Amino acid sequence: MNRRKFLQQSILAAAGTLFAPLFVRAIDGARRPNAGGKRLVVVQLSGGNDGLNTVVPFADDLYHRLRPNIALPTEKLLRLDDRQALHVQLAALKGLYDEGHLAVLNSVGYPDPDRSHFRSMDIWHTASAADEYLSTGWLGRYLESGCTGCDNPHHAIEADDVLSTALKGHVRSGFAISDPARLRRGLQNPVVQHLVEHHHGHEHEGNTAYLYKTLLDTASSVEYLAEKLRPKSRVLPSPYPNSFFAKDLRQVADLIAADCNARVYYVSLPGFDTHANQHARQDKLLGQLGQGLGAFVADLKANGFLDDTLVMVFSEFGRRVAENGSKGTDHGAANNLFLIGGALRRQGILNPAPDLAVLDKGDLPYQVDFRSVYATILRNWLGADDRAVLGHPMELLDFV
Amino acid sequence: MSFQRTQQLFARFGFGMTPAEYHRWRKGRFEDALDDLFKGARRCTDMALPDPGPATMMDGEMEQKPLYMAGPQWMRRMADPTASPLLEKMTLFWHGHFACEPRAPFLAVAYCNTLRKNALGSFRELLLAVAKDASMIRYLNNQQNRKNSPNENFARELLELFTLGHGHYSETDIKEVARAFTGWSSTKGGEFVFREKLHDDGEKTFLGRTGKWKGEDIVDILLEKKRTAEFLTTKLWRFFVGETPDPVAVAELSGKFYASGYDIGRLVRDLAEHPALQRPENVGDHIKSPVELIVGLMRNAGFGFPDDQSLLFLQRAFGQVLFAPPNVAGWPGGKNWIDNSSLLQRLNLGAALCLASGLDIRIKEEFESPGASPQLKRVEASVDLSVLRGLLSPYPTETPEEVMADFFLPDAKAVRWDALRPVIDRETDPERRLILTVIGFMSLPEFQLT
Repeated sequence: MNRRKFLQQSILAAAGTLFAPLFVRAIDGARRPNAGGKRLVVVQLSGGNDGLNTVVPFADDLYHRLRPNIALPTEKLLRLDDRQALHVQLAALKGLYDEGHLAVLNSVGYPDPDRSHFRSMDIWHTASAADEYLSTGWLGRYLESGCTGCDNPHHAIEADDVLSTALKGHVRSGFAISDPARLRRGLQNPVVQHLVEHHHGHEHEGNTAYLYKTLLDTASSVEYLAEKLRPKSRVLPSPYPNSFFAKDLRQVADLIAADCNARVYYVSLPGFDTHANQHARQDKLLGQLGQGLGAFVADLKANGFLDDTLVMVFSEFGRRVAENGSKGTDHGAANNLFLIGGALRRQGILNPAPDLAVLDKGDLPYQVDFRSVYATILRNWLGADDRAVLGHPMELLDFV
Repeated sequence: MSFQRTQQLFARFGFGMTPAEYHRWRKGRFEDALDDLFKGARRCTDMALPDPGPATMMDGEMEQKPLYMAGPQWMRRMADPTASPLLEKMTLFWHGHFACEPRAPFLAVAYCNTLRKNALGSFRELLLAVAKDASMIRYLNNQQNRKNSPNENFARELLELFTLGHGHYSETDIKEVARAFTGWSSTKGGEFVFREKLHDDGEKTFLGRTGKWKGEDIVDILLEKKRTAEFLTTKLWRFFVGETPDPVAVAELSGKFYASGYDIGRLVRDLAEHPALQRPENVGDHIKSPVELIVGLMRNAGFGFPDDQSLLFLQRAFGQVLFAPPNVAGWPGGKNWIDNSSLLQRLNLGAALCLASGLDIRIKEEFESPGASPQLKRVEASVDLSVLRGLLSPYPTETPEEVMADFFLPDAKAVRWDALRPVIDRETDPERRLILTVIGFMSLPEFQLT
């Protein structure tokens, strides 16, 4: 037996002897976050999705003139109205549009747009202005100041192993979990497990106390979520496709169906940075997006959860209006954004298609500030104080 | 008491102690260790510049992977016991202060060298060098800052994040500073160039003073403000001493800093000697940054990462990618490093590395990678146990675990033996026991602190 194998076994054996029931701070089902049962699902398209080939202004000559190689032909379009059409891979979203469960907001962005992925994503996550730097995310601050009763980290859940800035607060953050079994394994380390079981309460101060508290909260939430995720049968009107994105959405739906009292779920689909030969890549990704969301929404609807769910789909920026020399597009500015739900107050295309004749350095200027979208969701959907979370008043929209 | 103070000195103003340093200073005086640390920082050697690569990298899209490989290169230097830990720690501090994302590997290394060269020298020289650094000029758009079409990005951050702090200047001041820095530009090869034709040489009024100010004048006016010394002293206190600055001590230190003409080395030495470090609320209360955590393992405990990819992966998994700070405000640090997932990953790092079970983390894909299949990645690591045997060998009469507790943890008296004993005491074989002890200590929350 080699040393590594041996060590592995001895640590597992040690784990075995300590496998007493995990001490878990009881999570009180009666104390529920006060958001009227509403929940938000954020879908982040990382890399800068080309919005103009997602919601296509097909009737605009400039679209075809500026994109001689990558403009989508008619057979790849699903018409929404006489100006805009969806990419053919988003057939599921066209269905939602027809049923009144989809809203499209055109030209969402912010003043002085930043064309760096990192910085622009940071701006979207922290809800800062382009010349302002914050270390907490808008949803983290919602947990801290906007969400009454949100005292467990799992009130905002990200399907990932690394928590996004969007869900980080000053002292309270969301909960990153891509695979409950993996987090559970992390707690099976016998030393960690012992500390969780035999926590003495108030013996620590300062950051030591903070680390122990985070550990205990994590143990409690992992147990809670693992219990919630125990397979229970429910009707799936359409099967989830086979992609990581769909698997993450499936887990979100499982948690919703299990009555996990999270208010916010966060899911990402990366890879949208299409500088060259955009068609193949974007077709594939939009296919994953459309099919994944299609199965997810059908699942929620069939099981009665769609009316309490709002999905927001965004990307850190859109892309340049004119194509580049490699049949792709470079980083741009304002972009369209999807809102999906069973209780939208306004559906369909909410504002005019972008005017491709009026550009700012070749990019779409913004018509709607993304922080107005956040403020509307916070106030009108989650029942939170948007000003406390965003730091200043924003114009409210009327989609919810 | 004195040794515990020396250990804290090494932890905060370096990356902890190697076994050799432990042996040396266990009997030595704090004052001598302090002298030694600062003496060692006088010799500054540059990191080697990688090949500049195609010039188009400056203007085109970032080549992410090669760029971030400069980070692992720097971590290996931090972990090299022959490099000055104080100098590297200060360079890391300035990387967070003058946060910047260079666009090419050779620019990243040049920027890092600029910081290191001035890290313990005059703040005036450092600030001017940063203002003339090609990476910073491009990161904060001074390349586009021209007479008649000024770009205020650099000016704003110069005032808000680099010197005065928010609320100590007006929007007009920003506009005037931007004008003073028009024409501060860089070549494609990464050299500073003052483009006189693009410079606005008219009169500017900055903080109430009017003149035909150039960038250098603005720096001098900023340094005349005591607020700048106060702002920097507070930030250094937070980095080295504790999260809650003591206003009286900070006022005194920043007064000395100002009077010294912004001698960084003197201020940092004043901080290193400051009794506040030994106040109970500051002992063992600093949450290690991911770089401090990993470099400490490499430098002091015999951990090795043969490939740069693994080091890059750890940076990403724990949330501190060198040369890619979250934004120009740098890493917030402290509690911000810790969330449910990062804490569990950190507590299980020892087990993952020593048991070769791989690190079970699905990390966010980079923006341009295809979205199809996020992979669990394996971190290649090795552990050289002779390093820890070397730690224990001079103390045959002492319990190995207790020596290791003293070596690894901020407070050896507060060790949770009840959690460690059941794991360690299963083993009698000294080697297996040794590695289980390392894993055990690394599984304690206290290991994350220093």
